[in-house]
Amino acid sequence: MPLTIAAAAKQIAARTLSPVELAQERLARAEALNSTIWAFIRITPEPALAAAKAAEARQMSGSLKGPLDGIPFAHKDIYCTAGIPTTAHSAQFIDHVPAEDATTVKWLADAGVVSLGKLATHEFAFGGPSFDLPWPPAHNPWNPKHFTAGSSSGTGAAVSAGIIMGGTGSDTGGSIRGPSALCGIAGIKPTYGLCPRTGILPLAQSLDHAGPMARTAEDCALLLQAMAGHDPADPASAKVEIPDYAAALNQGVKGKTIGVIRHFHEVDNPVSPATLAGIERAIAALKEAGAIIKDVTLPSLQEFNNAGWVILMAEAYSVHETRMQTAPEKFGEGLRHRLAFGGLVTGADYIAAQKRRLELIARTQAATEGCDLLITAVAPGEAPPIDKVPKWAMLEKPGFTIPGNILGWPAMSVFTGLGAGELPVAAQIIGKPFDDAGVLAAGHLLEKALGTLELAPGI
Amino acid sequence: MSEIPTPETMSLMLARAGISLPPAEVEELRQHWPLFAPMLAGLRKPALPTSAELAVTFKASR
Repeated sequence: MPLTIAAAAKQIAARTLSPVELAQERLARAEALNSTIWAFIRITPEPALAAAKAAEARQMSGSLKGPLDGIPFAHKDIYCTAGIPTTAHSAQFIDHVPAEDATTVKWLADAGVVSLGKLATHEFAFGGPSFDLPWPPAHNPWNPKHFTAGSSSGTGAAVSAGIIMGGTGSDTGGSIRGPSALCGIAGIKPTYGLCPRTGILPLAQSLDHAGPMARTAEDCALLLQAMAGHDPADPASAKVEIPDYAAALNQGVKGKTIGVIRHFHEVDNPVSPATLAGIERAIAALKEAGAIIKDVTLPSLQEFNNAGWVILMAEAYSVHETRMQTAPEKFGEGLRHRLAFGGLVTGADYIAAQKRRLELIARTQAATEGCDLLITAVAPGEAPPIDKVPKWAMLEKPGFTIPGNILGWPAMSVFTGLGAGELPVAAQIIGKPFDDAGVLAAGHLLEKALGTLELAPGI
Repeated sequence: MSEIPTPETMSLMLARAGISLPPAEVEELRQHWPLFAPMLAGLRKPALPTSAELAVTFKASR
């Protein structure tokens, strides 16, 4: 099994693993693999080794900061990093060097992570895969001819390839869960407002979520511990007590009611045979562990997608309006065209979408009363070839992840096995607001029950 | 599937948003507009009576 954050932390604490040697090994792996999977926009050996040396000094003096101290990590390139370019994978921001770290970058650095560099993203977290940007799109380590999904594409690829043990992602319509699913790792979109977005380049602020991606639910729990908290600089930041996510991992699901949103993945957008089989295996494992399983009927996936895409596109256009009007050619074609549609959303359309969002939340709350967790698909199937991803795919069939952004409820991708072409498939676990710990615990249980912790790409 | 707008209508819509793109790109957007238009139309069909509509509001704070 590839080394996880939890296992590495134990070895670092026992002084059997050197943070400096670990960073050197992972930097070399990043350099060796990047021309195949293009996970990194920028590898930063000097600050990485400086951080690793500081972690090793703490290791030797018995003053480690916790389980993230000395862990190889990297940030999606929309997370601002002081003194290090933060480009959003775009020619628009190619010279953008922030003066300050994003809040979560600072909190993770305070916890001791060793950042190896900046990771590929779909342009401004919305435009890919694009082949007309300053850097290529990330490719899937399970088969580099295939797509990673996005937009946290570099994080998905780098974790999956065993370069970093964890990384940051952002999720506005599925950008943490999608690449986690297609790259065979774990990723949680936390409850809206749990992790501050201060210093993260926005896509659509009423839907934007920051969150962690890692090999396992346990590692996501360790990372979420450092990323969650109140930041008054983010107007959406929640003031809630942060539980001990790692301690809650073994709570299991006994006695919990889990709603299966069967119509999402069987009727609204039927999934591949392997994806469906993975969901059924997950349901069986949850039942075996003592959960009460029942089908639930939510508003249709299309209804969620109608409201979600209109809100997302309108807000994204609002963020980029000046650039679209003055230098549209500096965007890749994919993002330019999506933003153009956002510019055509009227004020009445946008308000109608926000009203529909409130109504969808109310209907979902009513339909899931008594349920602790929900389960459905993350993606319709295995990763397609990266050069065969239709530009307008997101509008052609309704996606499974945007309901989580509309609702703001926590949702994670759980690796359920391998499908066609030996490519990963996944299930999505959704929880009630601020029960991120319950979602992670279900993911932890499933990873062990389904045996997917042992699986890794042969790259 | 909604109808493809005329080239004139598409150009007018983009101009109203202040967007200027090459003709080939305007044509691509025009051809694909029927993928997006039904989403907008779906939102305009009231799901609740006017008196029961949920309001998008603002909460003042000190």
